[in-house]
Amino acid sequence: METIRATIEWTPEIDRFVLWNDDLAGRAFVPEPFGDVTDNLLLELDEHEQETGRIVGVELAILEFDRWDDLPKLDLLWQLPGQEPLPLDELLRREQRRLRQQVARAASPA
Amino acid sequence: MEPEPGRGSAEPPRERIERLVAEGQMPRAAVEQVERLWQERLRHGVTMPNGELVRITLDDLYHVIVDSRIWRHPERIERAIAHVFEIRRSHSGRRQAFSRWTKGTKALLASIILEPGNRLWSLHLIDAKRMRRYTRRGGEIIWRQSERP
Repeated sequence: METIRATIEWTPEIDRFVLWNDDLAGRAFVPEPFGDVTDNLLLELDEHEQETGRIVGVELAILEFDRWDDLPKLDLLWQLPGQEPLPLDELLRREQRRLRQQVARAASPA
Repeated sequence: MEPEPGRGSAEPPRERIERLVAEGQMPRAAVEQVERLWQERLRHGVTMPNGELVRITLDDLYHVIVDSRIWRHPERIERAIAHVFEIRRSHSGRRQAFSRWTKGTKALLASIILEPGNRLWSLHLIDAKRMRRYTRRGGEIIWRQSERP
């Protein structure tokens, strides 16, 4: 199974989360919706704006995301720097737990 | 396995763009051009045809420009917002706007997600097939531009 070298972009105040395929950074892409309108696979386009079949990223509102059955089943593993490769759903569930904890800590009084 | 310091954690959009420039994955000149455009035309917001102002922070800008069709043509951000023709209700108070305009003989379509406070959550160039997929999801139409006679 192919492993994607991945990084995460997150804007916490508006819960904008993207799991990026870092080897395709800066390429053209088109969103392929799944779940709600904020949930998109980002599919690479070539110079003729044709889909290449490669995935540039996954964009969603991670804190509130609960449509796990809608998540596409991909034959890929995603590997964040210094971490083990994981299937998409496992990685997103782990990051959701981590970011929810981070938000809860930030909101709690010191 | 523990995340590497500063790498396994989530990056804000600005840090990501700075890293991509440093790694040579995005041209510095393109990012600087987009930043100038933001200073001159975007930082006070862009008005949609229904009169509402869309707010664009620098982080929103850095998020939107990662598509090469945007960073090569950053004027498309303003055009997309200024040519919104339909707005639909989405979840969590967000709204989805659809936009279309032409550049020469090329017709362009965009999907724009707006936060409840009208901050820009995302802006993607799409094709007619994607627009149909989005609209089939059936968000309630809350504004649509009148057809001109």
